[in-house]
Amino acid sequence: MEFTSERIDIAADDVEAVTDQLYRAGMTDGLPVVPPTPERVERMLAGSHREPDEALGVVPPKYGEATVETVAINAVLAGCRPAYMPVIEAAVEAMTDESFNLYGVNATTHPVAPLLVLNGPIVDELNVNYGYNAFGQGWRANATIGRAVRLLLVNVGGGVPGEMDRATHGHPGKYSYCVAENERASPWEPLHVRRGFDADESTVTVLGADAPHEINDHVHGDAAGVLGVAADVFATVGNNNTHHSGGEIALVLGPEHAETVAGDGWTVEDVQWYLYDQARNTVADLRAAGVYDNYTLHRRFRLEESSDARIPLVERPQDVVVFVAGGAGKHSLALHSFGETRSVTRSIDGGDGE
Amino acid sequence: MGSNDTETEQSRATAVLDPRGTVNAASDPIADRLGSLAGATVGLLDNSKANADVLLAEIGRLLESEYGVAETLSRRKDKSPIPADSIATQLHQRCDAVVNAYGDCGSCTSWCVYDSVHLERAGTPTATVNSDEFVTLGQSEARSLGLPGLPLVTVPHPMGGVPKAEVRERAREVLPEIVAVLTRDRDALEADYENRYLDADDAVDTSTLRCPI
Repeated sequence: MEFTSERIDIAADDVEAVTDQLYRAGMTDGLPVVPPTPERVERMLAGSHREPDEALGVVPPKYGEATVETVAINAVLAGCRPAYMPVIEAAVEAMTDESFNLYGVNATTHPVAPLLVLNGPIVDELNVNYGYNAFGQGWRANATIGRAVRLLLVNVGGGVPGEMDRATHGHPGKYSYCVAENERASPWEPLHVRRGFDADESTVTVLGADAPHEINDHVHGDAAGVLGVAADVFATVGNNNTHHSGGEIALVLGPEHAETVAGDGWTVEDVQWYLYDQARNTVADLRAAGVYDNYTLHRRFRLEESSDARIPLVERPQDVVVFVAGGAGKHSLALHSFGETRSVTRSIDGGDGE
Repeated sequence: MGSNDTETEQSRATAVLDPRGTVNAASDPIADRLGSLAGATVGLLDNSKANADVLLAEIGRLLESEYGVAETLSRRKDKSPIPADSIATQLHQRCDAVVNAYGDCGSCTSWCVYDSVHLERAGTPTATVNSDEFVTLGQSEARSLGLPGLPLVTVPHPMGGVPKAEVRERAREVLPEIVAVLTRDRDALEADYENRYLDADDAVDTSTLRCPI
């Protein structure tokens, strides 16, 4: 078949030579890559329901054009199966939605990466890990879908570290950051249903998130107890949510904590309100941390003259994103965000016989 | 194995598809500049990064006292990693030129440069301040946004945490370049700035911040 992409000549026909040449050209994440030969890219494109030249979005800060073909090339590099294509395509559409602020996220000094959260039938169809070690290694779909997204941010978006990606440190999720919700173990409606999608629809939600922070609570048997610990983990100073008002935080409840919280009769909305109310820092603490002027000045602080006033991490309760993931164990995760980014959910086409 | 030797030789070289896609930015010129700043109204766009207000206040003061600027108009973004949008529009409508400060991190440089491109495209000559550490990012972004000749002037990095007296000193040092960027011939400016940082020949030692691939 005909491709619109340029060809790169490689001196030798082996994985090592391709990896080495693309690595030196800044087109990889440092790990070995699968050579994106025309044959492999064609097989990858067979997993898409779209035409190869369809434009999915323009990826900042370089503003390269992400077409289905470009996605397929990067999916080959990442080691994806063709069936993963619709997920990556939807993730590109979600990330390039203006409200996600990828122009900030992909260039910033802040340690942030787009986290993909999958919902719906696609999770079982592709074996996306939602259980034990969901944020860790071991599942091909999680590992390579997230990796393909990163390679697109590098190659199409220009996010080469030290060039247009200026993350002071980055975080390990920048290699791959992709999980599914544990809908089976969740006592509530899944995330995508709460966002207006049908339960049998498949979706990807992208969040511009920090690395996960542990919420360990082996003691409490009540909702407020567990969530009180969660609120303390969230309400630290030094994260972007203390002073950026346009963002969200995400609470990833382990199934056991979720059961405890729901067992007390709490809805997701109750959880959101609780964290909105309790995950706060006092003005005095924020001032001590340097959050008082210039860069950090925000209307929230102008309204509050009292040092005892407690400032929420988010502007509204619904800006607390809640989902369930993980295996057994009394752990949950706190995810702060870039601060000026909104999570975006997009439908994945072909998810269920569409 | 001998019969396969030829095939092995032929298969040594290969081609893979380029994963970078294409960039379709149209390149525009920067705005026409002012002949002189005398009697002009100059906007001061503060992106709310630490000390940007101090830098701009001193620049504004000196523009009025030393270059005959009639009036300055200060506007501050709530936060740095978002576009100025309506503030930029207002500055465009009310000012003859704008000084925009500054990009000294990743996302704030992104949106600082974006705001300047917005103003230049609207016809308002703009002097854009980046810290020297982030100016190559700023220039990359100006290219990607289709305004490769955007004049970026630099101040030393970092700017946050620097005593105010030193910030004012930096304002005095950068002032002549800011004035030149707002008043020199447009074509000469573009020629001077479009490859100024990214393709600079002078080797900069980046070894403390970046390990080579």
